[in-house]
Amino acid sequence: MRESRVFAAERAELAAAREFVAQMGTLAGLDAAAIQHCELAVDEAMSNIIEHGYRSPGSDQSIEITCITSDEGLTIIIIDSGEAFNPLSNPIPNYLTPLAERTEGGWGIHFIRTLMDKVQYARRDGQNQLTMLKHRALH
Amino acid sequence: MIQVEISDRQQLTILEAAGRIDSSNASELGQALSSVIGRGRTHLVLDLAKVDYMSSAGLRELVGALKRLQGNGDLRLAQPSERVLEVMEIAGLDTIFKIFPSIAAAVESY
Repeated sequence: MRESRVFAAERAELAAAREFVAQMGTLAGLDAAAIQHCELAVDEAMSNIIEHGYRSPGSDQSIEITCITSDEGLTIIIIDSGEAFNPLSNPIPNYLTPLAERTEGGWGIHFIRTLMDKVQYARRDGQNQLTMLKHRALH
Repeated sequence: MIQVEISDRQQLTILEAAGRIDSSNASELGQALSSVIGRGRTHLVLDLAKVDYMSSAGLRELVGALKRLQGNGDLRLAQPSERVLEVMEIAGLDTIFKIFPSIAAAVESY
């Protein structure tokens, strides 16, 4: 099954986007922990787009989320028309840095990379496309 | 929307947060922590029992509050859910914050 939704690039839409992904995760047969991983990954990706990708005012400030269920699990594709940004090029936060010297950023992308089983980025037709896969647990 | 209830117990202040914390509402938690620290309260316990979801935006507020307290008091966490604890571990914050399984244990730790 493949289903797409378009959300306004606003933080108030985060809860609705998480709910959509959770519903599709259930249909894909993911367990509760895996569903929350997907919710967090989508939340962090969307928050980044709102904060960085759509910094300057523009006409099409929307975010399209497509969920595809398969035997493998759930694939989530997030497309935005904001500034080109490859989240996978961000450095991994260093946990040995003392608290006072830490910058409180970069965790969101780190969550995406840690919690999802496969993450790919592409810039196509002036759009950012982030594709993430969460496997269904084997029982 | 999240709710934060604040209660003073002698030298301690307990903040009980409830809701799903993301970048749309994390500043509400940050403001609650700032207001408590701003009136000179430095020994804090944050009860997370009713927070079943927290994104990195919530973690940023916790770290911001802890940084404001450094060397003068502490922000200790009680009863995080399995999911919230997991994000703290992935962010490497489980070694920065003192985390307790109950409010009583967090209170007694001071």
